[in-house]
Order: sequence, then C-alpha cells, then structure tokens
Amino acid sequence: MTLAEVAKAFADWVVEVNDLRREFGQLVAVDGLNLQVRRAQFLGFLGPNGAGKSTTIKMLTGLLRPSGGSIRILGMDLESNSVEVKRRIGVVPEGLALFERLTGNQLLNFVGRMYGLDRDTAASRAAELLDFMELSSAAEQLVADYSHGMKKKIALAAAVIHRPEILFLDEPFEGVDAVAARTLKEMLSRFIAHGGTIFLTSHVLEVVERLCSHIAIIQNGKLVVSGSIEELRAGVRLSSDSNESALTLENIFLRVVGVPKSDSQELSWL
Amino acid sequence: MAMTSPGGITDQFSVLALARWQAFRNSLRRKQKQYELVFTVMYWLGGLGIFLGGGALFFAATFFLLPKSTAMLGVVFWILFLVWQFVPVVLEGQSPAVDFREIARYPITFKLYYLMSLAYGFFDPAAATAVFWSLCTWLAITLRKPEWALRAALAFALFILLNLLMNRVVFAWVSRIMQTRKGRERLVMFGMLCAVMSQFMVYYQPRGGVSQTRARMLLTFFTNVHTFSPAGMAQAIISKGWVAATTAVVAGLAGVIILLGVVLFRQLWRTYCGEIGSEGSKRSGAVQVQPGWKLPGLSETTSAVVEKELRYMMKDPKLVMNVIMIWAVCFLMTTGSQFMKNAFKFNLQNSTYVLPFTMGYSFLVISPQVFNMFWSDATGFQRWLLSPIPTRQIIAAKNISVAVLVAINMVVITGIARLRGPIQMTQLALTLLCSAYVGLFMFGAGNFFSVWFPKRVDPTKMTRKNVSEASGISSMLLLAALGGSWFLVTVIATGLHMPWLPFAVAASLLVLGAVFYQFSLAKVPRIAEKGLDKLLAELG
Ligand SMILES: Nc1ncnc2c1ncn2[C@@H]1O[C@H](COP(=O)(O)OP(=O)(O)OP(=O)(O)O)[C@@H](O)[C@H]1O
Ligand SMILES: [Mg+2]
Repeated sequence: MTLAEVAKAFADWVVEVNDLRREFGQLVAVDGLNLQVRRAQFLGFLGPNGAGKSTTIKMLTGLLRPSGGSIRILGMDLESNSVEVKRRIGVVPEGLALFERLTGNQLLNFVGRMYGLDRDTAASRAAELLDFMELSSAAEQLVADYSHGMKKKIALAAAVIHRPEILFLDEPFEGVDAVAARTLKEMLSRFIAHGGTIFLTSHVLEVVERLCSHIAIIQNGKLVVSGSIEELRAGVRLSSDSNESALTLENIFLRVVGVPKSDSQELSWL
Repeated sequence: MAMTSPGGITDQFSVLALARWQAFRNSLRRKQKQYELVFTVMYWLGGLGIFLGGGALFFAATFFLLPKSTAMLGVVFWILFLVWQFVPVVLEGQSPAVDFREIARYPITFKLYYLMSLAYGFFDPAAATAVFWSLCTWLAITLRKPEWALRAALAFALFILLNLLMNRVVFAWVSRIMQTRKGRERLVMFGMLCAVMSQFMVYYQPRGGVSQTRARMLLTFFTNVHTFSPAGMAQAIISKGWVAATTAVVAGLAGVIILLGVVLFRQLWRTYCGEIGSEGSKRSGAVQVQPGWKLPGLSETTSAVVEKELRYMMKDPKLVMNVIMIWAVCFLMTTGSQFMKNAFKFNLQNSTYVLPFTMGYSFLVISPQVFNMFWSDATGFQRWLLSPIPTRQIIAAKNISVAVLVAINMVVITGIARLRGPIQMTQLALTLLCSAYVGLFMFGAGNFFSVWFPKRVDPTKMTRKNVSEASGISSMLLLAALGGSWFLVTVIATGLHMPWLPFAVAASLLVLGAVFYQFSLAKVPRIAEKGLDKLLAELG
C-alpha cells in the first residue's frame, strides 16, 4: 500500500473511536472500546441489554462526555469541534429527545432551522418528510399525542432533515409497524447508496442482517467481535466446527454473547 | 397478579404513602437533592411563620373588631377566598404537588380517587393556611359571641367546602381547555371579549369631575356583588340569625357546592379513565408548508428558538392564566383608583403605582421560566445538546423569549392604565428603565440557577411545581430585593424632592445589570458543560 492509499483509507474513516471509556460511579458502562467505521458503511452495533450501546451512541453524538479515550468524527476531534460535528450528523437518541408540545410540522420546521436551514427550505422539507413518513394526517397534532411508533418516525424525520453525513440511530425499528419499517428501510438504503454512513443499534436481528454491511457486538462495555457479516460467519464456523448451513445473525449473536440459560432454571410461580 | 385483590381503603393509602416515601428517599441519593432539602426546610419555616402569624392576626382582628361591626366578617371571608383561589395559582410554581393522572394508574377505586383528590386540595399550602385562619376566626367568634358558634361553624364548613371544590374545578377546567387548540383559541377570544367589555365600562363612566351619585351607584353595585358572593353568603349565615333568609342562603350555598361537586366528579372520572385531551384532527391530504417565524433583528436560528419558546409559553395553561390575571389586576387597580378618587377624593395616580406594581407582578409570574429555563423541555432537553447551536445562543434566545412576553405584557398594562386617564411620560419612562434593570438581573441570576438547580417538570401535567426549592426561594429573595430597591428609591426621591434621583439610580443599576447579564452568558455555558451529567440526570 502506498502512502497515498493509507492516507485515503484514513480519510475514509468517518467514525474513529480509541480506547473509549465511560464510568457511572462504580459501574464501567463502556470499557476501552476501539471501533472504526468507513464512509458508506452500514454498521449494526449489537449487544445484550445493558451492554453499553446507548451509552456509546450518546458519547459519539456529544450527549455524554467520555471518562476517557478519544472520538474522531468525520476526521475531526469531537471534543474540540463539537458544533461542526453536530451540524453534520443526524441522531435518533435513546429517548428520542422531542419537543413534544409542538405539532409534528412545527417540530420538523424547528429542528431544520436549528441546523441552519433557512425557513423556506425547512418548511418544504418538513412537509415532504411528513408525507414520506405517512404522518400527514397527524401533522397538526401535538407530538405529545403521538403513538410510540409515530414518535419514532418523527424522530427519524428530524434526524435526516438537514441532510447529515452520518446517522446515529438507537433502536429505530423497535415499536414501528411493518409498513413503516419498510419505508424506513428503503430510506436508509437510499441514504447509504448516496454515500451516507449509518451507525445503528437494534434488537431486531433479521432487519440488521438484511440491512447492515458490518456488525460490531459489544458485551459488558467491551467489543467482542466486529467485521462484515461474512467475516463473522467464517469466524464462528472456524471456532465451532459445527457445519450449520444456515448460520443466521441470531445464531452468531447467541454464540458470541453466550447461550441462554438451561431449562432447569425457571421461575417458581410461572 | 397478586396485587389486584383490592385491600381495604387504609391498605391502599398506606401503599401510596410508602411509594411517596420511597420516591423521596431515592431522590435524596443525589447531592443536589440534599441541597434542595435544606431549602425546603427554610421554605416551610417561612411558611410556618405566615401560617401562625396570620392565624394570630385573624384571631385578634375578629376578637377586637367583631363587637364593633359584623361587616368585618365579610372582609375576612373575602381575604380567605382570595388567598385560597389565587395564591395557589401565583405560587404554584413553588408548592408541592402530586399528579393525579399518575395516581390513577395505581389500582385504586374511583371513590377513593375522588376523595383523595379532594383531600389533596387541603394539602395545598394556601388551602391549609386558609383553613387554619378560618379556625382562628371561628375561635374568636365563639369566644366573643358564644350564641353564634354553631352558625359560624356551619358557615365556615360550607365556605371551606365551596372553596375546595371551586379551586379544583377551575384548575381542572383550565388545564383541559388548554390541551386543545380550539380551547386555547376560545380562551383568547374570551380574554378579548373581556377587554372590549372593560372599554365599554370605561366610557360608561364619567371621565373627569367628581360624580358622587355615580360613585354611590358603583358602591351599590359592589354591595350587591358581595351579597351574592360566597363570602357575602357565609357572612350572612353568621350575622343574620336563624331566619328564613339564612335558610335560603344555606340552601343557595349548598346548591353551588353540589353543582361544583358534580362537575368535579365528571372531570375526575375522565382523568380516572385515563383520557387526555387531544386535537383529534384527522385531516388527510398534503401537509401545508408553513415557514416558521423570522423575528426582526434576530438570526434564523435564534428566531427559531424564540418561536419554539413562545409557542411553548402559549400552551402553558398556568402561564396564560397568570398573564390574564395580571391584566385583570391591572384593570381592577385602575378602576379601583378612579373609584377611590370619585368616592373619597383619595387621589393616587395610576401611573405612579399601577404600572410598577403590575410589572412587579409580571416578573413574579415569569420567574419559573427564568429560574428554571429548561423546565418545560422535558425529554426535548437532549435535543439542545444534540443541536449545533452553541449553549450561549440557546440561553440568550430563551431569555429573549421571556423578554418578548414581558414587553407584550408591558404594552397591554400601559394600554389598560391609559384607559383611565393620561399617563405621565416620566413615570412610564421610569417604569421602563426599572423593568429593564430588574429583568437583566433576573435573567442573569436565572441563567445560573437554571443550571445549578435544574428541575424537570412534565409540561403536560397541570399540577406541578416548576422550579426547584433553591431557585424558588432565591428568585423570591432577589425579586424582593429588586422591588424593594425600586420602591425605596422612589420614596426617598419624593421625600427629598429630587425627581431625578430614581432615574440616576435606575440607570446605574441598568448598567450593572447589563454587566452581570453578560457575565452570566459567558459563564453559564461553561458551568452547563461541566455539569452536563448532573443536568442530564435531572432533565434528560
Ligand atoms: N445515566 C446513567 N447513570 C448510571 N448508569 C447508567 C446510566 N446510563 C446507563 N447506565 C448503565 O450503563 C450500562 C449500559 O447502559 P446502556 O443504556 O448503554 O445499555 P444498552 O446497551 O443501550 O442496553 P439496551 O439494549 O437495553 O438499550 C447499564 O448497566 C446501565 O445501567
Ligand atoms: Mg439502549
């Protein structure tokens, strides 16, 4: 590899995480995480409940300060360039972070203008997004009155209104109906095709398997495996000489994070 | 579930009490909450002083004045009524509250729920105070006129019940209205109607010259209002003896109480069933493209934030109610001053005291928005952190929004005062100047307190307390100091015949305020960044 190629490879890294740590008192939620994501990659960031996925996303998006380690987004250090980074990324955070006393239309307008769009652009994109998300009939309703899935959709609309380069999505599919999920999936695929990068956590492994090009699995705050799905399959096949033909992501996930409890353990009253 | 077998009512109460207690214990785990406890204790000590002192005052006044005139009972009842109905509204930001929508989630029967929500009305500090003062007054009446004791007890019992119901009904009603756009529009229409009516009344009365007959007419009018008010009726029961008229009054009062009780029943039933108001507009078709507001002199992003803040304020029932209340008080004060002048030749110029007083009142009303600026954002708070807008700009935009509200308020107040006669330009200028420095100091201090002692509040809930204890007390103290300085300077200047003095003082305070405000804008974002975890834990 020539030097130019190396430089180009580095330039392609849009998310670089080095030795990232986060403690909550005694608890180490994220423990020395190293991770790189390339431009136009669709990364599925998986792990059991409480593994530290949301905590990681919060640190990557500037919601939470790391206890240690460094984060570079789009080639910039997050700490010193947070405003510029925030302008170029889109986020659906764990709690959705919506101003629920606005109507759907007002909310999207507002978020668009927060990211520096002018009024007219923000307004037309908001209308377009509401249509796309099939929220037009709820456009003039307060977000507080939306159902859980509708809130998810409006949060996703808010994340893309300013045409970000990277999307950080914390469980965008949970609670969304099948029709909407399909719309979302199409949108995300198109986003990738246009050179966007997505960093997604989800527990819906079928969707992740279908959409994501790369997978990273963490457990107890530590990265366990990462790579493309094929690489993971190959790795699992090698380590456990079982010759399952259909090695689904679910199987891989269960292998990696440990098998479920044995049948002897059960609740006494159920 | 084993939980569903409904235990006795006492069981349910104890489960609830335990839940409250555990929530309190858990909240103390955080350092900030421990500070809060200290301030809470201070708050309650101060409250206890007013509680006991007021009780003694009521006792003494009744004891000494009752033999001279029974009319004083009317005054007593009016004070109790006003304290009960209005103090909770003004001070609600500072008083503890339970959300009844939350309680409805526990497995409790509707009967218990109804009783609890009534009983809870007594735990409102203002209500408890009014009840205690009623007891003191009753005691004094009993000591002076033992033969009235029974009737007085009846009168107070009915009066207390009526107040309790009324307070809860009005509050539930307004919060319901405010939940839908149509309701809000109707409320605004109603306010405008009142304004038009008031103008009509103004022109109906003579402008200049003293008209004794007109004043007498007004007096008769007010006397009639008093006779049919709850206070008047309660007074009548005590002082008029057991005649047919009194029986009618008792029946009338009881009728109102039953009516209120039924209304409250319906309101609570809806809440109990878990209903929340909503627009319910299910239009189809393309979404309208509605560009946001562009405010003159502000950048796009700042305009957007100010727009969001103003929209939130318009949807805040308590704030809207309070602002309308300011206008009502302003109107009553201007009317009252004219009345005093006509009837008793007691001349107080509108502009000298109505404007400063109502402006001071406005600052009191907005203090939660200033001292806990993120309170209504709820989960939206995180979006500020995700956005590329610098914290400093967000804080400034939030301050500007409140300033816009204050400015609108000032215009309306001046307009109302103007209806009653010309306003001296110097007085108006002084009020403006003083409001500016009070505002700057308040915003500056509020910025600090908003990040030092943030408190998360759910904006969809009506019963709530929307500043932390620390901020609540500090804002009161600061306002008292600022208002005091304003008042003192004015008095001294009048005494010394130096009308320029207040201007000089206000101007220098304005400069100081501006410096302090700038300092807060520079400093607070850094405090927020450092205490991000704490802020998120409370607000996010
Ligand atoms: N603000 C906080 N204070 C204390 N502990 C926290 C906080 N936020 C997260 N944690 C802890 O950090 C750990 C990781 O939490 P995180 O939310 O990142 O998990 P997750 O991988 O997103 O789980 P899930 O799949 O359930 O969403 C958990 O043990 C959690 O209890
Ligand atoms: Mg999570």
